[in-house]
Amino acid sequence: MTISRRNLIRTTSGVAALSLIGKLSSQIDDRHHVVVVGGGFAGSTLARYLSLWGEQKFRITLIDPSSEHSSCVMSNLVLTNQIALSKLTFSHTPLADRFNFATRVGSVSEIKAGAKSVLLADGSELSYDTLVLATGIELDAIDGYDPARIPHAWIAGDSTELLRQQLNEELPAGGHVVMTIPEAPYRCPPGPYERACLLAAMARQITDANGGSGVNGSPTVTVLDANEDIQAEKATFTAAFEELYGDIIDYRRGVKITRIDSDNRTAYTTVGAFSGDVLNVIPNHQAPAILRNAGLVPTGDRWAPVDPVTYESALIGGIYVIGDAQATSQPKSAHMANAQAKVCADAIIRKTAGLATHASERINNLTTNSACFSPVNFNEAAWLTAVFRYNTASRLMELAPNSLGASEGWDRESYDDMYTWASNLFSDTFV
Amino acid sequence: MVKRQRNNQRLCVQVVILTAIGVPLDSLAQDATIDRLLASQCSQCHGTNGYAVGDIDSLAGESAGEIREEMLEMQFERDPDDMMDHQALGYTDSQIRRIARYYASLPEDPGTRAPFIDLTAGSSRGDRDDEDTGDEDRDDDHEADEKDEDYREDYRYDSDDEDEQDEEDEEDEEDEEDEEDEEDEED
Ligand SMILES: Cc1cc2nc3c(=O)[nH]c(=O)nc-3n(C[C@H](O)[C@H](O)[C@H](O)COP(=O)(O)OP(=O)(O)OC[C@H]3O[C@@H](n4cnc5c(N)ncnc54)[C@H](O)[C@@H]3O)c2cc1C
Repeated sequence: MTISRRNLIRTTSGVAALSLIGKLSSQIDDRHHVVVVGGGFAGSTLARYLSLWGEQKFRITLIDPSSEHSSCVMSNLVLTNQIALSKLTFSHTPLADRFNFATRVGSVSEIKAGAKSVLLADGSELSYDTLVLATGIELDAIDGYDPARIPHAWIAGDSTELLRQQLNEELPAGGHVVMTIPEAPYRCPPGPYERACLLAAMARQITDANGGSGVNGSPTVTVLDANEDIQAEKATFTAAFEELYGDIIDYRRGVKITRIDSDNRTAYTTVGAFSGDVLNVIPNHQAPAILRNAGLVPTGDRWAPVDPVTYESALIGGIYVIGDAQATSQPKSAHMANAQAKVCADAIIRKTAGLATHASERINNLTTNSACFSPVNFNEAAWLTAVFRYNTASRLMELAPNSLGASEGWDRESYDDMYTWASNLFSDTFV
Repeated sequence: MVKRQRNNQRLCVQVVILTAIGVPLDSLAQDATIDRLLASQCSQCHGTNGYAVGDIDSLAGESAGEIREEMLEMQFERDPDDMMDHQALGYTDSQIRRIARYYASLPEDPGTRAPFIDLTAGSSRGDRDDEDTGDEDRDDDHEADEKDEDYREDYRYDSDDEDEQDEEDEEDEEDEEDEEDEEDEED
């Protein structure tokens, strides 16, 4: 039964009606309530497409600790002073106005799956019919590591600005940068190697601007990779490290961090201590605590398992996990987070309408894809791409044969394409 | 202020258009949402509903035959060196037909375009030491070493610069839209 306000006024009189309207206006929207936690790539795309495709059948609330999101994508170019972080920062308000959903500035501290509600850090509680978790990642704590002084710049924002500032103001000619690469899986497989190239480009630029090598000799960038090998675009980055930065980059494999001295910018590792004028530590990642505490991550695992046909949690029904926090083997990328959000939005629409999400026609045509562009210097980039398809036998998203492709080396054209790609990705997500 | 109001009005129009292009579930053949979902996987690069920003093909309103032909050509590329050569290999012919059918069903120009972010314009681009990029129309700008003070929010959709740009675009597009409508009626 629905009561329209006009009928209400007709059938009730005076003051009573007015006070009733007051009460009803907060309750009157009895549409299926989808609460989206996290307004980054996955969450913003989900809200946007659920609204676009949902024929106004959903009440959508997007919760994020901030009223805007700073994109990690292109944020390595903030470090090189080529893009301002403000240009990569997107307010949720116009998106919500345009796509007719509500936003709530706040941080979810607990998921009450039984009660179908989320608790916010300010103590308030919000109930949902369907919950979508799009929280991205949490970085591991490391003994002695103080992110307020040692930037990771792996969740874009203050940390990105801190690293930019340290590079620009505290790296001397012939200076020394130390960076660490987390254990896979981490977000943006080529990202750390791209970062290493750009740190080297910056170190060289600063040194050259001061008339060649400084008192310390030529600059160095020590790259401490927790993995046994380069994780993406191996041919490209091997060549870039040798051909572009052979005199600067010192790449070391299989190095695990044991402790950080945040005062002295020193990383203690399984192969010794490394100090830098600038130290960029990127800790290992996992799904954030709210997911782990809610039982969405099996003990001993780091990510939330989902059914990739819907992105519904494999462990708790009615809760969906998209983007970096979920456990499928698809790359943790913004392009992919956007792709998954569309599959999830479609699934929620079907499920709410009583239509099958696992109809053979749908699962035989489930695809996602990823694209990453990596600048290797101030004006050239490389790229990597892949399409994933649902395999009905394994029930996994698997790489479509031959779709995995990478650029042969790097060039200017790809650098320009990177801007076009990012503009479209941002527009399809945040606008 | 006036500009802001116009902008708001425009946004309303855009919402209506976007919703219309959202293609309701039950107004199309049974499986149209599967076409829609497949096709939406192109939008990260080619824009929501195939209305792209910048120097990349828009897909909306292209003929189905044309889209399929291009995808097949890319699939048979002997020396795949373009991102799309690899992407095309990720889809079956029946999926390509469905994607093509979806984009062909949309108007080539939605009248007013959704607001968008365009990082390709203006001054945020990288070093321009090597001018020989073969990309003439985008070479007239860009210095690398802007510092904070010069950073403006001129790529954000709510910035004044873009409002002006949008308004110009909008006027052009309104004209085109009228022509479109006439063509549609003939169909
Ligand atoms: C340097 C760098 C370069 C990259 N380059 C590329 C690239 O070229 N291409 C590409 O595709 N990907 C790239 N990525 C990866 C990409 O940024 C991530 O994969 C993507 O952001 C994942 O999206 P997400 O929505 O899962 O998480 P995010 O985009 O991080 O969004 C998560 C959101 O959830 C919010 N949140 C977290 N916890 C809570 C809570 N408790 N309550 C409420 N809200 C919460 C956060 O505030 C945030 O806004 C790059 C990453 C980095 C670091």
